[in-house]
Amino acid sequence: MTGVLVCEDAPDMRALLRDVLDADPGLRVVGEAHDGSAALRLAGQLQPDVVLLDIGMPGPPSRDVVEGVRRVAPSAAIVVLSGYGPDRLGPEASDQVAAHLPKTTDLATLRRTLREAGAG
Amino acid sequence: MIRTAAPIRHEGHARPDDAQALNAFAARAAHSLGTGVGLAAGYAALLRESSAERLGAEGLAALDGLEGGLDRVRLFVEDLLELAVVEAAPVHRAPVRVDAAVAAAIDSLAEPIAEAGVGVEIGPLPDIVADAGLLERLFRHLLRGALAAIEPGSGRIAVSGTRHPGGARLQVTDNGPALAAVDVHSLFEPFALPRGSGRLAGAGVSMAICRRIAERHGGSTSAHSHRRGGCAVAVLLPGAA
Repeated sequence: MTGVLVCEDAPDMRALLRDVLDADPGLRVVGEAHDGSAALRLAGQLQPDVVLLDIGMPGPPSRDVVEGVRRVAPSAAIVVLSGYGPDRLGPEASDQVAAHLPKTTDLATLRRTLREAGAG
Repeated sequence: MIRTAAPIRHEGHARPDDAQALNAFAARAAHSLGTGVGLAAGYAALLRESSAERLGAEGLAALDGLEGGLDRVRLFVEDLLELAVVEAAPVHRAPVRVDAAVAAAIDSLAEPIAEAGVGVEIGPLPDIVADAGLLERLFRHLLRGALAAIEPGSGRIAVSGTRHPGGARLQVTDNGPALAAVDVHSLFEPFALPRGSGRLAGAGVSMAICRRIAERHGGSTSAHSHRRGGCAVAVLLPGAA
């Protein structure tokens, strides 16, 4: 079972992701963060298998959130789900991300990507 | 390719300021629209998963229509995002196999190619110096533009390339309907009226993406169409040889 920390500032998108992931027997939502600061705090506390990260949330710049997650939860894979492209993160932070998916990604691809990222 | 005496030809170039403004707009629009489309498509998919039996044939047909419409908007949003990405991505020039880029692009379009029953003829292709990722995107959009235009079942697409001392010329030709002169002239403009009206037509930015990829390599794009049908889109990449 892959434990996922959902980091997304839009409440309706967060609710959808919770429903989508909880409906998959191989995935489990272990926490939800609504901004970058909460993402860093919860990643350290919960040590999830995967951090599903929206970029462009309130709080620290996204590249700092990526680097911070790497530091506080070094074994967690980071999967970005965002309406922004990888250029928003810059090359160094992008290299630390297991996958970068657009928000238009279909459910099957999202779930498969999270399972694969959690499996290392 | 069918040739007549009077091909219509156009070369595309964008002003840098225009490209930057468009990039900023595309990134913002893709972000805003992407969240809405993601939500709608996500709940439609959940509905299919959890309630297919209760929906019945009529409900499922309506859901098919809903998802089909969302799929078109999804492609539109992803095109916008790609336009922004192509503008911002660093260009890493290195020796690259054009045939591998074409194969990867064809692989990414395997489903629509099979649906259209189209044969893609690949001629000899040179090895060149370019950004491998951008080159694959270039062929994906060139092929998608051709696929959107051709008639299913009778379509033909040909990919060719030549290398010369000043660079390389890559070309994708199709036997789709002829383009009016006004459409040839606007082909490489963002949000141009796309060739074809199916799902693959997307946001009408495929050819604009091709042009930006060429320009980011210091090159250019051109197109010519013939009154009897068909269109050839060429990409010139100086220094690629």
